[in-house]
Amino acid sequence: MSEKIPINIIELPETEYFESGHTACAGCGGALAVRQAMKILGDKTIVYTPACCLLVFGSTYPLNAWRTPFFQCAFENSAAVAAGVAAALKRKGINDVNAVVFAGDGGTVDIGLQAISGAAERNDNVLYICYDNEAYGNTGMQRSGATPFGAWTTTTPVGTIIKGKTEHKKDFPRIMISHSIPYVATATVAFWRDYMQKVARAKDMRGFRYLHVLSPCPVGWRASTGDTIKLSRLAVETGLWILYECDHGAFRFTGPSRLIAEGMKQRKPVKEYLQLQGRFRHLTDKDIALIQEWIDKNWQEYSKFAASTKG
Amino acid sequence: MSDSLKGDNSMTFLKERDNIKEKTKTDAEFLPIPIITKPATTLQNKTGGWRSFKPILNEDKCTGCLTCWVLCPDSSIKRVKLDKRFKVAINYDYCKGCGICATECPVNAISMEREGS
Amino acid sequence: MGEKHVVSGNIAAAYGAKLCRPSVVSAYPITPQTTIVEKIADFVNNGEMDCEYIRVESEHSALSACFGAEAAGVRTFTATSSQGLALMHEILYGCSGARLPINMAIVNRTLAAPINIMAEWNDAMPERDSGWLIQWCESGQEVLDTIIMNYRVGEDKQVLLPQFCCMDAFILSHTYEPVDIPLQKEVDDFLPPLELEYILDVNKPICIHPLCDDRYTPEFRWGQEKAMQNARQTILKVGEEFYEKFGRRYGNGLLEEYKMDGAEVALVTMGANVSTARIVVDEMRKRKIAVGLIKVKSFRPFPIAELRETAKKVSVIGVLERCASFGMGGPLYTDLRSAIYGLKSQPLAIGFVAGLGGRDINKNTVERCYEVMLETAKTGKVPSNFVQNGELYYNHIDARKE
Repeated sequence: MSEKIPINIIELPETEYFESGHTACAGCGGALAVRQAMKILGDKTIVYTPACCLLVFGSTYPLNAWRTPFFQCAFENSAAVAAGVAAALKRKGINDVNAVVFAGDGGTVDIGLQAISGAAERNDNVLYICYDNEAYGNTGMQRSGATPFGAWTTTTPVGTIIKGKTEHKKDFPRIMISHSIPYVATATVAFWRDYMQKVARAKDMRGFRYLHVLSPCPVGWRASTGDTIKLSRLAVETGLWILYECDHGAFRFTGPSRLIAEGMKQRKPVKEYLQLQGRFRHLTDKDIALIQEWIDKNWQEYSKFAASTKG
Repeated sequence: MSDSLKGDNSMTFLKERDNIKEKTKTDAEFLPIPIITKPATTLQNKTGGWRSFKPILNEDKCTGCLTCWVLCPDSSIKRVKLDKRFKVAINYDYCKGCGICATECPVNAISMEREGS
Repeated sequence: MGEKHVVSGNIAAAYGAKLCRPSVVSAYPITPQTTIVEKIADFVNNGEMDCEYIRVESEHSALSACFGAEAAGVRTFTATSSQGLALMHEILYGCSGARLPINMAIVNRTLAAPINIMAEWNDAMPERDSGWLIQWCESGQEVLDTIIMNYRVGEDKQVLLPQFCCMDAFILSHTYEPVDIPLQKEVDDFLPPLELEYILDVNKPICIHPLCDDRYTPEFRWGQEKAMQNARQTILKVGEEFYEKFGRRYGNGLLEEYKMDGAEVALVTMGANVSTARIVVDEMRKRKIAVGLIKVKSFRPFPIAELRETAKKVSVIGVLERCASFGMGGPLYTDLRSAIYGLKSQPLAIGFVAGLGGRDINKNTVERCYEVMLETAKTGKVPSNFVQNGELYYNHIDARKE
């Protein structure tokens, strides 16, 4: 089992590799996810971003928020482009630079799935970090496969007949685990130490490494801009978002999710999380019960899975 | 217009666009290729003008835990080293007034006040 | 001096790529390109080709991986056909707009529907606006040579554009011919290692291809057009140098005239059609019929100046092509008419579309084209449906009737 990596807040570098002056919305969980990861990844990083919020707020000509080399190509091919960079670095004999993708959930779990699956199967030397704001944020909050059940989005509006998204969230990290890649982890911006430990662990590995970071979007989720961290925390504490890492096939829960799994902490009722967000305002008690049911079932399955990978 | 489109299939840049270093309004060079030639040019974009509310720090209450520093999406809080401990300073040039720091401060050392008050 | 081998057009392409020492090859199989990527796989796994071979899961990813590798500053190669090229379409514009000199071999196959694996140029033609340099080849030798020259032209600092090397499906790709395969040292002397100024380098961080708007994009577009104009000169220069080094040339690199002296009429065509047309011209000339042939090698940049010069010599010019732009006519025909527009002695122009879906273009096909042109030269009237104020006539030639 991998050693815990100490993250000391006073030893984190001063340099901002993703600088101020970017044009993300106030309170953007995605921008924070990138900033926190870059504190660990540092300057030996080549960053690729598909078309997503991050592309627009991080690099609109002539404004460039990055202190590392950065580029973009299209929407659905992030893993393939990064695989090309990794191959080029290998050819140049450069072993200490990471080819990193920061991509939104849309370009990852939906249209980006093919390229990621291919790169994962080939075990291309890429570190892929998905910042998940649970919709196509860049184009105005349309639903993605990562949008949770019941959520309002512009393409799953709250109508008189159909209210919100009718499907559950696609469990993409689980799909990545099935590819048997060296490292898969989930994280969120509230538990930044847990997140940074995972980035630090992934940073020094080779092969295809995948991190999925829940990044609340106050604008899209119709929440207060100051609630980003609160939402991120509650997502984990209600059990809706599970923190874990799967290191070369060995699965373990981390952070508060580990306490929940070991019975040392009770899951908070999901209503506490849902009621802070306008995108769930229309949910009936019956809907919330369905969501709670899904959470319970999800925990059962993950507990079973965790048990099966031990030993 | 016709000056720049000489025959013989050669195109020239319009004369007034030849000196376009000015165009980027940053210290990056303008090239006829979509490339920003310098890192961190966003520093020339002061997003502090976006605020409706601004965070006010009560330095006496602040314990220097640096929670606000690590949770600011805009890197608008700086760590200030004082001998053996830390304090923080808010960079109002870039702070967008989201309120995360005020919400998350464990000792309520930050309060949000209306911008301009 | 190289070594002569009997190889197919595809194998010649694979050798061309190998000799240019790409650092990253990323390709996906599709009939009839497959033997290119299979040969390269053989080279790599036998240690004869020192590169990273990314066995991607689609053509879109193939070109994407090349994009990433080229942006990181290494030479890349890929190949595709038909549906694969269509799937890459989005990324083609990315490569030319971001000015990455990626080299691609295209085996021109019919674009579905209907699904058809045989020769047609309708896969590459829709990409004529993409900003890629597009070169068409007549023989396996030309394919190998063109791949080498394409790298030289595309990687030139005044150009920086990606390149297509096109060959007809099966007719060239799978036909075995003697090909002179240059020695590695000869190609190394001709093609220096890649040196791009703006690359992804942690020691000099830049941002390649950010979001741009109307304040800046037109200048980027002019940059692409300027590069295309520079490519014209570079192709001529590189053609000369190639001839000096390897003893082979393809016209001036943009266009070749064949038996145009004293020609009354001329046929313009590309690719494998040219070798068939040469034989027809020889035979007709023996019968004292004054016909000539114009081979377009460089489709982009289009050899406008050369065509204007050569079109003056004839009273009727015809275009034979294996593609159509529905509702308008053949793309090569349309481009040619644009190119020769306004010539004081502008010839009458006729477009012939033949060989769609791989139907044979043989000597009879070409002879019929010349017959129609000669008839037109005599009467001054393009046969039926042609109106001289600009409405075009294109005549579908059906070889089965011969």
